[in-house]
Amino acid sequence: MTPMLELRNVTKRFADHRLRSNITAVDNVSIEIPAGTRMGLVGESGSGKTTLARCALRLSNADAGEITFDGTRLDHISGNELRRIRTQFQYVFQNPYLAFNPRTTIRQSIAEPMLVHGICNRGNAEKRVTKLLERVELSADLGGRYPHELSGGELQRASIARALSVKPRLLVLDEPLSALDVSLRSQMLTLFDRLRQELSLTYLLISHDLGVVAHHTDTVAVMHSARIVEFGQTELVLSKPAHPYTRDLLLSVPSVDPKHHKTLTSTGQITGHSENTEGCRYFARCGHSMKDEQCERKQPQLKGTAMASVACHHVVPDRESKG
Amino acid sequence: MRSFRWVPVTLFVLFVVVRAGRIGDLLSTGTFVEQTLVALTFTLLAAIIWLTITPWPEVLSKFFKPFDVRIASLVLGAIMILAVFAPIASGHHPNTQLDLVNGQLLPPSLAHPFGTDFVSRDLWSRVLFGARVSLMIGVLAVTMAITIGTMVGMAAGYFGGWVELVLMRLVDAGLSIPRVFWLLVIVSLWGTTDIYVLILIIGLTGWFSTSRLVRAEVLRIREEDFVVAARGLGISEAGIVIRQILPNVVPPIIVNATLGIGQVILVEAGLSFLGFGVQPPWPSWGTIIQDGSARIIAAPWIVTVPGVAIALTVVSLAILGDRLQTTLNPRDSAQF
Repeated sequence: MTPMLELRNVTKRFADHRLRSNITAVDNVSIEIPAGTRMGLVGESGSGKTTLARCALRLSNADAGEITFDGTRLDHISGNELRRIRTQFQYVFQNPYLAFNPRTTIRQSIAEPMLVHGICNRGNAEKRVTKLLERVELSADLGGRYPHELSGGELQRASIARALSVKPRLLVLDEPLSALDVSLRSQMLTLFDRLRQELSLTYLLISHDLGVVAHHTDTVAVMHSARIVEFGQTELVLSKPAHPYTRDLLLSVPSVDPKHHKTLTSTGQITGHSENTEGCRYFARCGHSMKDEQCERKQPQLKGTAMASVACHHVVPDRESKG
Repeated sequence: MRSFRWVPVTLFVLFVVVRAGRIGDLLSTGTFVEQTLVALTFTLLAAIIWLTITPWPEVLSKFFKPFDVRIASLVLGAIMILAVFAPIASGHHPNTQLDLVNGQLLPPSLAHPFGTDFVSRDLWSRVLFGARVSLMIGVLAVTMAITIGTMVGMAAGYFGGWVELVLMRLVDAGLSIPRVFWLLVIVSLWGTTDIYVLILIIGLTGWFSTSRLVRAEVLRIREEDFVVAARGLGISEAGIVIRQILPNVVPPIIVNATLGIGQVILVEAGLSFLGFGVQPPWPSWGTIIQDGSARIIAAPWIVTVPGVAIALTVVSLAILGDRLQTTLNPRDSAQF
C-alpha cells in the first residue's frame, strides 16, 4: 500500500532568542501513514507532536526533510498549487475556541473555504453548511451563532465540519478531546469512527490519552524530545512496549483499580530540551536496568521493521525477535 | 427611556425658533451659500423628526442604549450642527471688531454669550466658525493618518522580512524627528498654508504611531490558530488579511482615531501659533486659545470656551468609539 503521507528526515528548529541558539522541536523524523489507516502520535507535552503534524501539513515550514502527500512533494510547492492541494488534508485544532475567527459566525467560517475553492456558490452555501453541520450532529441553527456562544463540544464538532467542508482525505486530529468534558469524549470518538467509514478518511490522531490511542488507531508513534522513539502496530507497542519511555508512559496511565497501581521505573528529574546531549535523550530519566555508557554517548537510531521499531540500545531480545 | 429620542428634535426646534429672526434675514438678504444652509436646516429638521417618530432598526437602538452614549452623541451632534449652521447660529461675523473702544474683553453676557476677545470680536461666533475648521482638520487628517498607518502596519506585520524592515525603519525615522519640526519643514517647502494643504500635511505626519500599533496587533493575530486554520483551508493571503486579520485590528484603530482627533486639533493650534496654521483673522479652536492665552488672567473665558469645546468633542468621540468597538465585537455586544 502506498503511503498517503510520507515524511523523510523532517527537522524543525525554533530560534530561542534568550539562549541565542536553536531549539530543535522535530529532529530527523521519518513516518509513513498508509491510506485508510489510523495512526496515533503520543508523547508528553513539548515532545514535538504538534510541530511535527503542522510541518507535515505545511502549516509551518520544516527546515529540512521531504514531505510527500500522495505522490506530491509538499515541500516543493507553494502559492496556488499549495492552496489547491490543501483541500486534500485538514487539521483539527486542539482548542476550538482559538481555531475560529471570533468575529464571524460559524456559518461564515464554514462557508468561506468552500466558496474559495468553488465547492459551492453563494446560492447553495447555506444548504451545504447545514448539511455539514448535520453530518457532525449539530443542529443547523447553531450556524448563525458566534464561536463563543457554543460549548466546547459543539465548537469542536463545528471545527470538524469546517475541516470536512473541503472534502479532505486525510484528517489530522490534534488532541481533539483534551478541551472536552470527559462525558463527551466517547461520543466524539464514535463520530470520528463513523466519519471515517462514511468518507473513507485517513487519520493521524495526536493524543496523550493512551486509552484512546489503544482503541482507535492501527499504528502508533511514540515521540520523546523531538524524536520518534518507538513505532509500530498499536496492539504490539502498547502490549509489549520496547522503549523504556513507552513503558513509563503506559505505567503512568492512572487506573481505577487500586490493585493495579504501578510504580514508574523512571528516575531523575524531567529535563527540558537539551541540544548538548550526544547520547539518548531519555538517558537522565531512564530506569532501564542495562543503562550504560553507550546510552550517554551515542544517540540510538530507530531500528526494526514496519511492524515495530525502537530507538534504544538495549531492546529486550524477546521483543526484537518478534519484530 | 423612549422619551429620550425627543431630546434631539426638541433641541433642534428650539434652535430654529430662537434663531428665527436670523433665518428670515438670511433668506431675504443672505448669499447663495447662506440660503442653501437655511434650506438644509429645514431638511435636517424634517429628517430628525422622521427619525424620532419611526421605529429604529434593532442595531441602532442597541447602539444608543447606554446613557453616556446618548449624551455623547447629543453633545457631538450639537457641536456639529452648530458648526455647519454657524452663519445661522452666530449673531455676528467672526472677524468683525464690534466696538474697539468699549467692547474689548467683555465678560459673558446676554448680548455676547461667551464674551468678546481683545479686539472686541464676539467669541460665540468665533467658536462656532472655529469648530468648522478644527473639526474638518481633525476628522480628515485623522482619517488619512489611520488609513496610511493601517496599510503600512498591516503590510509590515503580515509580510515581514525586508518589507517590514524597510517600512519600520522609515517609521522609526519619522518618529525620531519631532512632529512640529516635520510640519514646519513641509509647510515651508510647500509654501502655502491653505486648509487642505494643512490637512494633507498633518495627515501625512500622523500615521507613524498608528502603523506601529497595527503592526504589533498583526504580529500577534497572524500567529493565532484561526489564521493558521484559514491558511490550512487554502484561503488566499489577501483573503486572510482582509477577512481574518483586519476585522481583529479594527478595535485598537478606533481608539487610536478617537484620541487622534483631539491631538490633531491641538497640533493645528500649535502650528497657528508659529504662523503656519489657519491664518488670522479666521478662527480655529486652536488659534482662539493661542490668542486668549496672553490674557488668561484678565479674560479667562477666552481660553476656557474653546478648551471646553475640544474636551467635549474628544470625550464624546472617545465614548462613541468605545461603544462602536463594543458593538463590533460579537462577544461584548451579546452581553447587554
